[in-house]
Amino acid sequence: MVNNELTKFEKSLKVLSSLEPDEAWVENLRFGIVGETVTHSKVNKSNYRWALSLGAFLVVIALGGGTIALADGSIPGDPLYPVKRSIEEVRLNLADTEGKISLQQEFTEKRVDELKALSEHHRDSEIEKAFEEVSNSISKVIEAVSNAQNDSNQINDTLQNVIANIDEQQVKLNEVDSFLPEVLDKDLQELQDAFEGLQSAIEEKVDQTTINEEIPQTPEEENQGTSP
Amino acid sequence: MLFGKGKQSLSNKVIELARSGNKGAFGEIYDHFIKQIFRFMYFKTGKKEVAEDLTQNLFLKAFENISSFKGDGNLSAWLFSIARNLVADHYRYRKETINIDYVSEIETTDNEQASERGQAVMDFTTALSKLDEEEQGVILLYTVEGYSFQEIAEITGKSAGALRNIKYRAIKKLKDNYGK
Repeated sequence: MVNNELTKFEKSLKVLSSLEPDEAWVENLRFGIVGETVTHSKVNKSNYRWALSLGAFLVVIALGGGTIALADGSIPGDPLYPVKRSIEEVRLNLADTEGKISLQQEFTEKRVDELKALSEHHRDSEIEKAFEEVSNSISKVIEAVSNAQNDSNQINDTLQNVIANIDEQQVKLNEVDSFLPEVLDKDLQELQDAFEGLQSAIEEKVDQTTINEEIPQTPEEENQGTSP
Repeated sequence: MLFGKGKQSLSNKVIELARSGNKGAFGEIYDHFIKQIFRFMYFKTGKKEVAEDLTQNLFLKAFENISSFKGDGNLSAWLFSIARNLVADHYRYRKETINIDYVSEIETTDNEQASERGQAVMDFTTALSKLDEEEQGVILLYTVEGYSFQEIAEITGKSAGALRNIKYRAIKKLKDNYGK
């Protein structure tokens, strides 16, 4: 009788085999190790992280449109999430200075959406990391803004769009608040402060850009401008 | 050479080719073992990121040293010996307690049955973490991965009879710990 119970219990342990690694991680690692060996007899450890990045890029290419669309809706912990992040990296690498600001803002919006989705599904183990991701993403927008040239004609429009988007993100964070345990209130407040910091940084940049546009030319500069 | 009950076979020819530096053959070995090794690392450490790092290190080591693997030996025994050493090294420098941070993510649907399965995995994993290393190893390899006692004997160096006793003791302990 006892043995029957133990046998039944032992069979139920098979459920542990349902735990599997992320598919994209498995593919990337496979490429990093086996793909690298196409030209080398042994993997060069210092280069294998580069190989993993290239692997991610090739996975993106190989997967095609349908998977990319599916990946776009994924959130941290989903098998396709690494694909989504790889696509973002590729887009970022191809963008110019202003494009980088818009993209970093778009990615920040995605990170906030992911945080919201994770909190709604009570996936607490991922939430702390998601907070960090939003915070990092905001820092990257600030960096992209500070790297932009002040005299660019289109920069003002881009920056105004980012400012308009910040309010939208603050509203989402307020919605997230209702799903979070109290212990994470401080983290949420820090994110809201970070968005305010981003707004200040952009306003400062807009002011600099406006000043540059409004500074009147000296008579010498005007003469130089009109001389044949 | 076959590995485990009902598992897809990995032929001696594939192992021989991998030993001689054939990338495709090593890829087959990778495909055959990646999930088992990841699970082993995960159940030993309780952290997805750590399990990924250790699994990655294992396959890098295996790839670099496959030529030194004796062709007449047991490949799974060789790989799991590397796995056990990597886990031991990991804990040598970090006095961590197990923290189940991944099993809650494996079921992402709202389906009730799937959610129950996720909960069961979490409870079993917690109970498993309370067993000693030897007992964990037998449960993971025999009950979860489907290896025979003879194959586990080659991995651990213990006799099949001793492993049967360890498994019986481990299942009883697990049942007592389950859900606590």
